Amino acid sequence: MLFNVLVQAQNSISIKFEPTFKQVRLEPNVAYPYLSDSIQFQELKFYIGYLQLYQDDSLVAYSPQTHYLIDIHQKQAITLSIPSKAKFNQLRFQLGVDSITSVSGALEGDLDPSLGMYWTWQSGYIHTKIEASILGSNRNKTHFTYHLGGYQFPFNSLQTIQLSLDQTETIKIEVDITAFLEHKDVLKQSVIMSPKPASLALSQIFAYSFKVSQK
Amino acid sequence: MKSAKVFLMVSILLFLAAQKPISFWQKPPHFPKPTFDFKEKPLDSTKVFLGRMLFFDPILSKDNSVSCASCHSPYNAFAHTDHPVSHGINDQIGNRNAPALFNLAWQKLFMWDGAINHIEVQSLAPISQPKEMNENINTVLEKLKKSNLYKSAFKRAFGDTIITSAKLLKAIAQFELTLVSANAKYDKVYLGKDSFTDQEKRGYNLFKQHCNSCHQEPLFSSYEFENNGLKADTTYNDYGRFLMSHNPKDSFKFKIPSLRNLAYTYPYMHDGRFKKLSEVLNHYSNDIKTSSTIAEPLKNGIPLTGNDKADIIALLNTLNDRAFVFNPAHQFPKELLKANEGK
Repeated sequence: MLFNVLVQAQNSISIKFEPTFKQVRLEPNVAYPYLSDSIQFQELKFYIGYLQLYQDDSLVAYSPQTHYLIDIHQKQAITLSIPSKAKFNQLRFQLGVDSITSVSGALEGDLDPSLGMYWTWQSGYIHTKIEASILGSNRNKTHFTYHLGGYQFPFNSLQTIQLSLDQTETIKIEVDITAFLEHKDVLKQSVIMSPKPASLALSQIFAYSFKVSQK
Repeated sequence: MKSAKVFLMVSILLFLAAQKPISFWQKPPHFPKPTFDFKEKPLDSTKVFLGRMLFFDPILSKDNSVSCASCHSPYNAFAHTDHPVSHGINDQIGNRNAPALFNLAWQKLFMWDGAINHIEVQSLAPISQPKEMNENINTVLEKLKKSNLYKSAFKRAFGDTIITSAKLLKAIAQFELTLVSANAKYDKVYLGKDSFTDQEKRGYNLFKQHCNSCHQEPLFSSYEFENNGLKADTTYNDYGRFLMSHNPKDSFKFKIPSLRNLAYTYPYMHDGRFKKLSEVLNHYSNDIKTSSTIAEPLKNGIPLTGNDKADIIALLNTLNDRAFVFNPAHQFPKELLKANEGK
C-alpha cells in the first residue's frame, strides 16, 4: 500500500488492431465480394513491435511486451499505462520483428517459434502472413500465400509506422487491406515464402494499411 | 541416533546438490573466446541432461523413428559415417552431408549454407525438414506433454512442467554446446604435453603454408564460407550460401568444416563425395574448378607431392580426438533405460 502512494497515478490506454476490407471488419473464412469474384482470408497475422506513445517527439509510454502477434482468429487489445496527466498525440510501432530480436535464439510468448511465424529452414520471423483464396465467377479457386519477412539486408522487411492521433483511452487502429489487395504489384504472384525483393516490396505496401479509426 | 542424524543431513545435502543446476562449461585454455554468450545464457546440468534425452529420442520425428543422433552419432564425432548425404524418415535421402557436431560454441552461423543464425533455433530445421524428421514442433510438444519422464525432466530443468518450444530448443542447444573437442594429440602438443613425430612436423608445416588460411588453428576452421573448387554435382545443383543470400558472390560457397576428427566423419565435403582423405588432397592438388567465386588461396590449386600428402594426412591424424568421441557424457543417456525398466 505504501508503494502505491509513491508511484505516480497511471491511466490505462487500450490499443486494438482491427483488420478490415472495404470498410467491413475482416473475419476469417468469410467470403467478401472482390471485383467480380469473391475473396476469403484463411490467415492474416502480423507482428507489432515496440509500440510507443509520443507527445510530439517525447516518449510518453511504451507497451509492456516488445512484440505482439495480431491474428484475425483472436481479438485482443494491448494495454499501456501512462502517467495520469500525460498527453500524447502520436503512436509509433514496428511492423515485424527487428534484426536484434531475430538473432536472439529461441524466444517465448508471442515470439515462440511454434506459432507458425518462424521460418524453420532459415532463421528469421515472418512479419506478416496473409493466406487467402479468390473464388472466380467460373468457380476457379486461386490461393495466395504471402509469408513476408526476413531480417537480413538487403531484404530486411521490417517497417516503421508512425500515426498521428487524438488522445483517447481506447485507440482503434484499422488495418484496411483494401488498397493492398488492389495494388498493381499485389496478387501478381500467388506464393511468396522467403525473404526476397517481392517480400520487401509487399511489406512496404502493406504498411500503408494502418490508419487510426475515426469510428 | 547421532549417526542417523548425520545420515539424514548427508542425504538432504546430496538431494539439494542433485537439484541445484551446476555450471560446468570450461573453455579449453588454447581456444579463443567463444561466439556463444555463456554469461547471458549459462549452461546448467539439468538443461544439458534434458537436451541429451531429446537429442537421442526419435520422438522428435513424425513416425518416431529418427533422432538427432541417427545422423549425428557420438561415435562418429556426431556426423554420419559412410553416408554421403543425410537420411530421414521413410528412408528418404537429403542433399547434404550431415556435418559433425563439435565446438559449436565458436560458430556464428549453422548449416552448410549458414541459414541458421543461432544454435537455439537450429534444431527446428531438421525437425521440420520433410526429408529428415518431417515433424511439426507443436506435435512434438503434444507428444512430450504425454510423457511423465519428460514432464519431470522439464520441471527439473526449468522449474515447472510447462513444456514449450523455447525450452525444448534451449535444452537441445545446451547439450550441443557441451560437445567440445579439444583433446587430440595436436592439443597435447600445443599445450606442451606431447610432441609431433618428424612426419607430423612436416605435415604441420605444410598445413600452415597451404591450409591454415581457411582451416584456422586451433579450431581448424574460420567457420567462414568459401568455394573450394568442387565441380557442381548435377543431381543436387547446390549453390550453397547463394540460396540464402541471393548474392551471386556467394555461389557455391559452403561453410568451411573443421579438420578435427576426420577419421570419424568420412565421407567428406558438403555432399559427402570423397570417402578418403587422399581423394580430398588430390582434389586440392589436381582438380580445382576455378570460377569467379573460388577461394583466393585455391586459384591455382595447391602444389603437393605424394610425400607432402602423406605428411599432411599424418598431421590430420593428430586431430582425431578419441576422448571426445568416447566421452560417456555425450552418449545415449543410459540412465533413462533404468528409469523405465519394468514400468
